[in-house]
Amino acid sequence: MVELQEIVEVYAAMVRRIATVYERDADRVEDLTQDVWIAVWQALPLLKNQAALKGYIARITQNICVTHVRRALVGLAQPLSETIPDPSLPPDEAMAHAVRLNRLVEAVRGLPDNLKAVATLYLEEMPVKDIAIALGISEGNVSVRLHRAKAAIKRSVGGSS
Amino acid sequence: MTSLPPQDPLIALWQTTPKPDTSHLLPQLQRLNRLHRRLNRAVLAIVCGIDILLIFEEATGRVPSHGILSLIWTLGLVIGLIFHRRARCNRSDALTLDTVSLLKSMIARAKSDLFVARCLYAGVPCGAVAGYIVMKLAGIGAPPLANGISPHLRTIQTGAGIAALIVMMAAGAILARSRRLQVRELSDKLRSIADDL
Repeated sequence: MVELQEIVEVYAAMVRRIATVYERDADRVEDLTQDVWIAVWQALPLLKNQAALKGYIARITQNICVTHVRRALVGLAQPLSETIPDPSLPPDEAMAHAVRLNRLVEAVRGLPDNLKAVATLYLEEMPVKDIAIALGISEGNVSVRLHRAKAAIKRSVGGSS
Repeated sequence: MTSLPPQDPLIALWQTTPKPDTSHLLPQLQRLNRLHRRLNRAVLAIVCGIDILLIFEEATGRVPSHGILSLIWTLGLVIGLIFHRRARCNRSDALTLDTVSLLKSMIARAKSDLFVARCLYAGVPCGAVAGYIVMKLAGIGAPPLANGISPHLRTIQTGAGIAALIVMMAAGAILARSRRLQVRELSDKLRSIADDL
């Protein structure tokens, strides 16, 4: 359990970021992250290569979030960051940063599913090859989708500024 | 686990989200795990208890079914345990499969659940009516007021049977609704993710 605690400390933010892209309702984001951590907990003894841990957790999160089926009730939009401005920045800068971050999150949320899956893993710094393996599509396909996703995000983030 | 700052400004911005509070997460996971294990044990104890009761009733001759009921119940228990184990193994799909394969396997499972649900809400009443007609035509079944059973008891038995039918149909309808939604959503996601560009 100590090991899991360390892993949670390091990757909790990543899991939450991915979950928030797929689910707007805060309670359901909590449920999703719980599901992910239960799965990770069960999976840890099976993991041979500790170096691949980040990709492994990202893939589990992605799988659980993509296969999550929305209930009939659609939650109200909630910004990802519940964006507490970063206290290390001066107030104006922190607010501007929070606004930029919210725009980015909304841009990723607004992508179609095929681009969203690729973009989310890319933003978590996964290489194209790993994204292709995680999603079960070709590397070429990932590259094309990534290109489109980035263009859409830049348009969206730039357009709303 | 330190790393260089990312080159892409989008990634850099993305990763500046505040860290979530994880202090409650581990105790909550442990609690969920404990609750889940307790629920499993309770269900198993109830089902095994009913099995033992049936065996006892049949052994003492109070239920004249010559061991058939307890055999069916025990078989159901074994099959249920096998399915439960299989479902537990299937949960590890999210860890081992890629997203496209996972979606395909989930759609297949949801479709088989949908079939079971349809059997429940459509097959159960049809089966009950068919069984009733066959028994009437073949003259099988206990005659009215057989063995001195009071008419009140008969009414209660009939009422309980009809209530069980209604519960099964309602459960089937609810399950079918949720599985239909699941099949539709997962199929849309699969189409979106797996389609070649």
